[in-house]
Parts: sequence; C-alpha cells; structure tokens
Amino acid sequence: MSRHFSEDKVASFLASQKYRILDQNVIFPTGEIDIVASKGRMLVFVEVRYRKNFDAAETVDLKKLERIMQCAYLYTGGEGSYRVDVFACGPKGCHWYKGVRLDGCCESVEWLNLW
Amino acid sequence: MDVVKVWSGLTFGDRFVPVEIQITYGAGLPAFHMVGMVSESVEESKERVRYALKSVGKSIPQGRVMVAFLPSEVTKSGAHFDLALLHGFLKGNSERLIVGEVALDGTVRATVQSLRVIAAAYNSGTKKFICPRLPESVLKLMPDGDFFMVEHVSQLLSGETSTAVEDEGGTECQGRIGLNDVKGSGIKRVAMIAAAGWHHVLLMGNPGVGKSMVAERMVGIMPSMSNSEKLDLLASTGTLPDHRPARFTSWNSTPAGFFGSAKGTPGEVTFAHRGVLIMDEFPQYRKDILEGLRTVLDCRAVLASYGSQRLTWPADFLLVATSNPCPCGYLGHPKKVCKDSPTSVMRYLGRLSGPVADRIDMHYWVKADEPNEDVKAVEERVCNVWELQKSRWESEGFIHAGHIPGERVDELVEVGSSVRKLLDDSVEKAGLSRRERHKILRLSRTIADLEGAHDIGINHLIEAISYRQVIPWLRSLVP
Repeated sequence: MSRHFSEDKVASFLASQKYRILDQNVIFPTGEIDIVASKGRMLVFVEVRYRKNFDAAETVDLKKLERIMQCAYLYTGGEGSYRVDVFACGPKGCHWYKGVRLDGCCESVEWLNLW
Repeated sequence: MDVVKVWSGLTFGDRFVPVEIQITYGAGLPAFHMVGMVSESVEESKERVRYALKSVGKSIPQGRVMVAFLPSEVTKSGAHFDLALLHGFLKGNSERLIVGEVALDGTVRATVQSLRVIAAAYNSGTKKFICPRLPESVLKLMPDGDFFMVEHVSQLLSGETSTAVEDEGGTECQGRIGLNDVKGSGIKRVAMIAAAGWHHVLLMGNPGVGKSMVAERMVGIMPSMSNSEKLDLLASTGTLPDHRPARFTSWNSTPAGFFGSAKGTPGEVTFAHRGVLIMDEFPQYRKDILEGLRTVLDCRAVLASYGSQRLTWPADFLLVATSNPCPCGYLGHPKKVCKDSPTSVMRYLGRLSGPVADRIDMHYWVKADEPNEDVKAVEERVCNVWELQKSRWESEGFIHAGHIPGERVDELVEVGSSVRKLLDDSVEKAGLSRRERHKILRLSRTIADLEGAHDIGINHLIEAISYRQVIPWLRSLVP
C-alpha cells in the first residue's frame, strides 16, 4: 500500500523542526508505526491520521493507543525516554497532539497549517 | 482552570437531591468523559447533547471534555440532565435548576423524571427553573415558581421563553362517577363513611354482588385534590391525574411493583397516594405483599432500604379490599351451598384475619338483596366531614379521623360514660385488641360527624362495632 501524502508532509515538517527521521512505516507483530523520529535523546513515535470529513483525532481510541504503545515498547526494548505524538489531519491542516498518554491526555495541542 | 457550573437534581423517593454539574476542558485527544456514578441513561446523554449542539450549529469544544456530577456518591440516572449539559456548553454558568431531555433535533422534552425533580425541588424551596414546556395544570401547582421554558435548544441562546402547554378542556368532571348506580343502601353508607373519615374498607360477599364496582366509585364522592396533594403526587410519581387516583391492583403483582423498587420507581401504593388503592380478591395476594402492607398502613409511607439507599415514598391511600368468603365463593349465600371443606375455608379466612385485617377499619358483608334506598347528597356530606375533621385536628398534624395516631385516640376522641361502658363491655366480650378498640372509636367519631352529632352516641358506637363482626360470623358458619 502506498504511503498517504500526509505522512510524508508530517515527516518533512518534523525534519524542518530539527527532528531526525529514523524510520517510516515500521511494521511490528502488534501493528505499524508511521514515523519514528528523534530529537536529542528523546525518541518520538508518530501516528498520522487523515480524515476528509471529520476530526481525525476521534478515530484514535484506546485500542489504537495501546497498539502504538506496544510497538514503541518493542522498538525501544523499554529503555530510554520516548513519547508518542498524534497528528490528526484534515483538508485544512493538522492538530499536533504532543506526548499523548494512554488515557488520551497530552502535554500540548498545536494547530499546524501544513498544506 | 475554567470550570462551568450548572445545577440539576435527582429525586430520592420523595426527597430532592440537588446535583451540581461541573464542566471543564483539558488538553488531549478529543474525548467526552463523565464521572460521578453515572448510569447508562446519563452516559447516553453524550450522544443526544452532541447532536443537539449540531442542530444549533455548534459542537462540543475540541479536546478533552470532563463532566463531573456532584455529589459523586449518589447514582445518577434519568435522561433529564441533557438540558443542563447543553446550557453549560452554550451559555456557561447558571443559578437556575435545569432539567429536561433533549432530542437529536434539539427539541426539549419533559420526562417523567424531570417532572418529579421539578415538583420535589419546588417542595424543598427552589423557585427558579429552566425546563421544557410544562402543562398549565402543572404550573398552577407552583404559583411562586419562575419558569424559563424552552421548546428548542436555540432558545437558550436567544433567551425567548415558551408559553405553557394548554390543558385539554373539560377534564374536570370526567371519571367522577357518584354512587347513583350502586344498588344497596348499606354498601353506599359504608362507602360514604369510608370516604368521609379515611377508613380502610374490606368488602366481603358472594361473587357478583358488586364489590369491585363500589370500590371503583369511592374516589368519585371525595373532594377533589388540593394543590399540595397534587404536588406531592407529582413529586413522587411524576403523574398528575385530573382527579383523585383510583388504582386497581392485580393479585399477581410483585412486591417491587407494589411498594416501589430499588431503582427508584414508585409502586402502586405511591401512585394511589391521597386516593384509593383497590385490592380485588384480597386473600389471593402474595404473602409478602399482604405482610408488607402492614407497615405501609401504619406509617402511611413506604420506608425502604435497598443496599446503602434509604428511601421514603408517600403512600397515604385509602385501602378498599374485596374478597369472597371462601375459595368457591358461596359461603353465607342465601340459596347456594358452599362446597369447600372446612379446612380450606378456615385457611382462606385465616389469610384475612390477623394483623392485616386488624388494620382495616370496616369489614362489610355485601348482600345481593339489600334494599335500595337513595342516600342523599353523599358528596356534600363527605365534603362537610372532611372540612369539620380538618378544622378540628389540623393543628395536631392530621386531617382525618382515620389518621389519629393510636396513642392519642383516647385523648382526642371523647365519649360519654355510658358509651364508654358499652365499648369496654363489647371489647372484653369479643376479645378485641387495643388496635381494634381504637379503630372502633375513630369510626364512631366519623359516623357521628356524618350524622351531624357533636357527641358520639350509643347508636354511632353500635354501628361502628357492627363493622367488625363479619369475619367472626363467617367463622361461625363453618361446621
């Protein structure tokens, strides 16, 4: 399956923010991680969602978050510091949920005009 | 942190519990959380609120919405919190009590629960409301209330208030059937005495003599309900009948349906509050209902404990029970012969006598061939006795002779020495209990009031005693 254009947009945006893109579309037994990036010692696992008609963030439920967390654990082996970010994109732009936790809370939300 | 606070409420039996709803927002993936022991019906209001907001072109704010229902130790149930949530999202804080269910298209509706909450809140001193359109008959009960009625959610934004729902005319006299089509002067008199002094009645007789028919017509001869009585009924059941309730119950009712359930739904005894509760085929009722009836008759309320909840339901009904004398029904019939064995008759009567029948003031044997004289001006005489007894005892905290507490009967019902001697003699001879003695005194007071007598005479007492002799007489018929 070809990669959605939004994933490339997000990856290039992160690169512009001084993030190093380590991997894209890493496949694990428990699921797939869209982008793995790093900044300093912090690993960032990025989930990119795109929906044309409604808020893409609503499609990230507990089950999806659990899968991302599991993949992150497999990738890091449970060592080092890492966080999970969600990019919820629509035709007009993106919400960047930084440092999402399993219960859905996050450190900050930012609106990005990526395209 | 910005917290929006709005008020709604719950009913707990007939008690009003104010519920504060706090809404706040946090950073995170979009989510709508509710905390504070919310049951399924409250949880569902998320979806109703989401689409009702859409109907006025708004949506739930981005991010994590957290709604807390306080006090959080009480289980919240019912669909009436929708409007309060919507007010919180659209307008922010409010001092008013907000109740109402919201449909997906944004129309606001009144649920049974919301009527109960409004009435109970008004009873406990709340005067300002935001609520769905209410009928005029309901508003009339709460003259001091300040109601902001909304028909559609958009009115929360525009501030327009709706008018009350007009009552359908001509309901006033419907269903008030007097005793005119009842045959038999004795039974009419019994109905009149019972209605006048709020005395419970047990009508016994062979099949087809018209026991149930009289029971049905008892509410027709009572004065119509006062506003406070209607408000009590509305607060505990959410119903507002045009006239006094007459509840027909079935002998296969369950205790939960009869006395109210742990989920907070009232039972038949509460629906019959300040009206008539008709128990047809009284001995056929389940044992636990007949036994449970004892405390209800004594307290005039249902006191129930379900787990950690203590509820009180008002249940001040006039009990009209009907029964056959034996399983086949023909014991004491002038022509037909009873085919039951003595043991089965005794068992049948055994269910009637004892503690429950003891608490019923009047036992009456309905005959098929009673002379039929007209009892004149029944409604008027009943009404006069109500007013007389109310003026006499209202300061003591009750308004009917049937409500005089047992320990105060001797003090409040005065009898002359000759009457007292007759009473003492007959109590001793028949081996009547103290409670039965009190029943006789209360009953003779009502009979004297009906006759317009100031003092209780011998004839009043004799009539009162005669209403306790049916069961002993039936027992004597059994070989």
